[in-house]
Amino acid sequence: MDANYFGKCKASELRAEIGQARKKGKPNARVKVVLKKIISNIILNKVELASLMNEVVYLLTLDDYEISRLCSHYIVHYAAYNPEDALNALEIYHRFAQDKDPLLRALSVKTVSSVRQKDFFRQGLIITRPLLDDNNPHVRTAAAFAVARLFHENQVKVVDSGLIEGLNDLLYDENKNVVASALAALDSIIQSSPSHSLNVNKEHLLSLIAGIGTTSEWKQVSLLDALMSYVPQSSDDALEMMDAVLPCFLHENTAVVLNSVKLVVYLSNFIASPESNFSGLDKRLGSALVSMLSKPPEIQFLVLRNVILILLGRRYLVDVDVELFFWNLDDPMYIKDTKLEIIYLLADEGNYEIVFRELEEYATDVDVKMARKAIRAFGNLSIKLEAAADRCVALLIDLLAGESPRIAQEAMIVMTNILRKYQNTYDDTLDHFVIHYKTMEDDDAKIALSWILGNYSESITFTSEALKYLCDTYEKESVPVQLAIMTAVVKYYVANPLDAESLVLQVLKYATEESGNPDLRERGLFYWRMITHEYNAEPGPNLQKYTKHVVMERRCQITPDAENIDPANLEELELNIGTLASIYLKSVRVVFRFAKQKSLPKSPALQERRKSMSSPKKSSKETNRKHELMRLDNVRPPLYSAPRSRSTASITADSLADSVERPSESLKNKFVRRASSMMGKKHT
Amino acid sequence: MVSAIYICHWPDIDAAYLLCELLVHRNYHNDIPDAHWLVARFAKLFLELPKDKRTPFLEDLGITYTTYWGADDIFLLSVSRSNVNAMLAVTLLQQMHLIMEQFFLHQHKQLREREARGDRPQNNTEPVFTREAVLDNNALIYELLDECVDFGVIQITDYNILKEYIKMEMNVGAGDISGGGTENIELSSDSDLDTDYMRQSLRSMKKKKNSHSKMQSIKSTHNKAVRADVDSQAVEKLVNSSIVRTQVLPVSWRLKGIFYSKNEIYIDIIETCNFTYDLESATIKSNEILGVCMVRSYLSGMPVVKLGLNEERLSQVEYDGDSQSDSDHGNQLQEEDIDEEDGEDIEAEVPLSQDSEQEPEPKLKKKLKVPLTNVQFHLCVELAKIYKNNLIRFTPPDDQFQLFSFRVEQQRRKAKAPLLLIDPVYRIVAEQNRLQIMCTITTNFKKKLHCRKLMVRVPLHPSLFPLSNSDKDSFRFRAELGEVRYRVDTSEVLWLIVDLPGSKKTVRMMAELHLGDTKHSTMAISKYFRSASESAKRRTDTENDELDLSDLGNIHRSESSKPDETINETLPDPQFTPEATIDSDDEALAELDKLYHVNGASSSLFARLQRQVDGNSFSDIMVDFEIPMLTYSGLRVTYIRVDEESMKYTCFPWVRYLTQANSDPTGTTNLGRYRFRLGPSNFKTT
Repeated sequence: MDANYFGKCKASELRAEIGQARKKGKPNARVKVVLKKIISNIILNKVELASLMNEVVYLLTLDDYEISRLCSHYIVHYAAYNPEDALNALEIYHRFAQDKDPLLRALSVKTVSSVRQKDFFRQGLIITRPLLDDNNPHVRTAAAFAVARLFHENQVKVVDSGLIEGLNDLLYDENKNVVASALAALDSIIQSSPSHSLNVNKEHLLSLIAGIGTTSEWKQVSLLDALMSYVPQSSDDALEMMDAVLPCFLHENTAVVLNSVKLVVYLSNFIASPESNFSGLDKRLGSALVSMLSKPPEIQFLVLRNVILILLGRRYLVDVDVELFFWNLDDPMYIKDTKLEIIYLLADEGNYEIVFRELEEYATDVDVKMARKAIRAFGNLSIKLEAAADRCVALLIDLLAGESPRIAQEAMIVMTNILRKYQNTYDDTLDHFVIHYKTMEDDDAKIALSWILGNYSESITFTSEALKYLCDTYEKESVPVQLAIMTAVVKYYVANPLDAESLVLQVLKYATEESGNPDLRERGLFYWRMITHEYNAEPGPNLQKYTKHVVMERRCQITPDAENIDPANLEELELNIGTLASIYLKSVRVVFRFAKQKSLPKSPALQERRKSMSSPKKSSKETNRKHELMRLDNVRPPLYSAPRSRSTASITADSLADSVERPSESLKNKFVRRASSMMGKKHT
Repeated sequence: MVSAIYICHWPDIDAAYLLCELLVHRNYHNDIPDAHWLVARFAKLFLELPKDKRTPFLEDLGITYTTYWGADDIFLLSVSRSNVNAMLAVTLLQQMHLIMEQFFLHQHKQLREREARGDRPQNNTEPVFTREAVLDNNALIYELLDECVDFGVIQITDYNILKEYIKMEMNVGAGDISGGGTENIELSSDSDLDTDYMRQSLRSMKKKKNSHSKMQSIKSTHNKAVRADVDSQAVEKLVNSSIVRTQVLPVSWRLKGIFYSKNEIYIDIIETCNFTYDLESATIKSNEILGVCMVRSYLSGMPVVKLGLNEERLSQVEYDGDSQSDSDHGNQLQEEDIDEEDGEDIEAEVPLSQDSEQEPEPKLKKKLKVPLTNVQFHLCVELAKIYKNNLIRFTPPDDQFQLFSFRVEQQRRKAKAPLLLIDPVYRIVAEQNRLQIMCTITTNFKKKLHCRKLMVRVPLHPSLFPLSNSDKDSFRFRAELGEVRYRVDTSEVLWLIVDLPGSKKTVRMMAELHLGDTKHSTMAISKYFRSASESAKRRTDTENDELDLSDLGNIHRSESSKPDETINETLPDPQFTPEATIDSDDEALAELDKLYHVNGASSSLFARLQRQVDGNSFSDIMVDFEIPMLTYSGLRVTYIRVDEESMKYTCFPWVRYLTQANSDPTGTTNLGRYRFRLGPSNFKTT
């Protein structure tokens, strides 16, 4: 058991132990014990042991590979703390590099290149070059990685020494595993150097493809990556490659599967209609993706993020059943979250009944957070699918019957979005929602309620009760809620001056005289002036005519097809399937500042990107939604921040703050203009 | 390319203070700060995230953290600075976790074998990958991390190869590694049959003899390497350099120079049923098969194995879902027929006869369609060849591995009859204060087959059925087969049948218990189901933040269908809610505590655990069983052939089939549950 070795040791103790061990019989076994203790101290980060360097370097000379290896661990770790003594090891490693034993040669080149010292670097340049042509593939592999390591230390010198060319030659090595390792090393070099890039020609490509079947799973990953560097010159090229890659879909290793998915997506850029060339391609891609969902949640998450990416850009390439993305009992929250997004993307006229049944169940989830998310998904779906809207509203009303305050709140928020999309369709159902006005606790829900009350005061039977209830605690509300209530009250006043007069007075009085918040006071003053302005004082039906004109304008519809995702961004992400960028669904540059930007290479076979996805209806909302998806964190800007641009077209589906805040804010802006023009008139 | 890998231990994540501890770490690139700083930083950031945002990936200051959570609060963390292949990073962590687990498991087994030699190895449920294990083996892990990954690029993750390379710990039990030591790593031993065990022990006995006679050439090199005198460096170098070769050879998963005097290959097709049946509506809610094909190969040299299955569309090329309902029924009948024949063929594990081995063309059963989905193959399978001739061609690694796994989604073919059906009735006899449980099992498999280790777990929720403790011999039963027990800790009635032959189509059982309060039970049941049906209509929500109820509700919720909603709040009379009864239970417990001077904390923990257990088995009857010689999906091995270029030996293939269901009450997985959901019609009062 190593437990005995795990503990901090003093350098002097260990020194004595090494001395002792060497004196007794079977020194090697004893030395190993001491070295294990030293390894433990590397883990424990004990710097003091650096003073043992001389002893350990001496141990290197013992003729035992295991000891040498353990010593090398020590040297790699402690050379920085004791550079002078470490230099003694250089000579030994130089000797190792010419040893008959390939293991020692590999160990030598690996260790020397890992130590970040000038002398080691110089030595590394010397010993690596011949070992790149070693007759043992293991040594060549080690040397390939050594080149990459040295390159990261000093690019210029490595290029000057010709090591890169040596590494390049390895790409034509007879042993495919060496080729794959060389590719991995080159890949790391290319990523950090602006001047290098990997080009694969047709001939080499064929040998690489042949390598896929004969290398280990991890090497296949690098080989598949390398295939991405080949630019198909014709559709036939691409077809041929795709044919070779497709079997990888069945591989057990998820990294291989996802990389082959990436390659297939890449290749489909060069084929006019990949799905007609390979019958069932979409099914196979779908089943490859879905089969990875039986893996641990960490892998599932990654797969799901990439499913989103592919669905957004290449809906026609995957054929998956939405039921496969329904929640499982033991899914962690982040998986459920991601699955919801996929369910949203996959829902269409054909399957929304099933989807709704499932979502309905989620909506009663014990975990309130998830339940609310599910309800929100409802709302988004009803905006995406017009046919589903009726059913959605009916379901929301059903859910409300449970009298659970949190569900009621969420339903209220969702309803505002639905109202914005389908202006006056659901007026008569609003009573079911507003009746829960007492249970609103969250700011968002209160804002939503106020908005509904303000805009649909005539359709609701107990507007005044609800508003009174809200106004009772007006002073204690947060500023965004106060703003929303104020707007609602003014709207109500405009529609029904008699009932609302006292409320308006109460609210405006508080806002203008008592509140310390400038936003609130400012808006209060606006309303105050507008209501009391002489143009509005005309009695009869024309009372508050202008106010009505300004306030009651309901131009805040959610439009399904707003902005498209930047195609270049999507293109880049598709070239990065499976990488970290695919999780964030952001441009690579945003996350990794120094990363190289990838784009599709020019080729005569390059096809134009398909604009619409397989069914036009499906596409309608997806692109808009995309924007929302990209924000992993739903951080919203404070509601009373500086006014944003007013293009109503860009309102996203479920960013609630926007949905509720925007009407009143746009109104405010307009009002400024009108009021000032009116004032101008008055003065002249 | 990852920059570093850390193994950390973080027991109570949401505790008030940080407990995240860095156990072992290894740097591959020099572009990141100190390990301890990084881990502390990660822990801090992770804590700040709301729970639903705690994804496996976290980005901070240009460093991306990738986590992989294992059991026992252990997690693996890797960091990287650039836009690396995330999938590669996660799979790397997963593989590392798997390898270490295998190493520990092996070690664990050796230790235990030493403690109790000769005892049959028990079901291995205790965790092996623990903080202690990591600290004990820190040098081993450091070596592993060094060996598997070079420059942040994965090199090799094959356990069988690695275990010979990293010999530091393997010396521990050098004397008594029997063949059984490593065989059951993936296949938990409870799925092994008795016969299998016999064979195993026979083999290991043989092995021991061999080692005594010092005939080194008889067994595979790896056995030799482990067993042979470790001090001899000549041997060590030989083995090590052979590994170096394998790492860069096309066949990286198999060593050269393996030799067995008797060449055998064992193929097990194991299918686990995931089945949910709603008793109220008498419908199958889900019927899914998760299958694996485990292979154990003891073959010399570099053999090529060809395996044919009765699955035309193994590669899923043409599979377009046409084997749907319309053709289903017909298929099924044929399937059954074939089952009959094959069942005889393979009965009692007759090795496939020599001539069938030599047969050149696979006799694929043309009409049979087994809609396998999501097939995934081991890396040794030549994937390209599967498409061409529908044969699985592979060079097997030595010893045990999983050749492929598959899933059969039965959504479309719900017509397939379930293997077992259970019809339970709870009858409350009011005047005698008794509860009678009557249960009937109906089987639906071939007469010649036997169902083994059948266990029916009938839940008796203490809130619904408060048992009277006064009467000691209150539990009585009568069963046609097997025996019945009442388990106190989980509040279940267990019905165990060691061997249920397929010829017996129905088996009945009756058990009787004394109830504390029959009135209460009747009320509680009716209320429970009424509220459930109400809520099914009205969709109530729980809104209860208490841990116990959310747990309870959670389990019900996610079980795809409606009936059992939560029980609180919606009930008109709160007195009879389970919550209330639990409370009264608590009171009783508290009294007991007073009596025995136990402090309150432990008892409340017990109550909580008890409640969790209750919640688990509240409304579902679980069934565990094993049926050897049957694959529920109908999958069969139709053809097998082993070729070795140089040696030309004859090989003995053994094929086994097993269909099983385990519902491990402690496990969190949802896999392999065979359950029946109770409905109000199962409860009767007289």
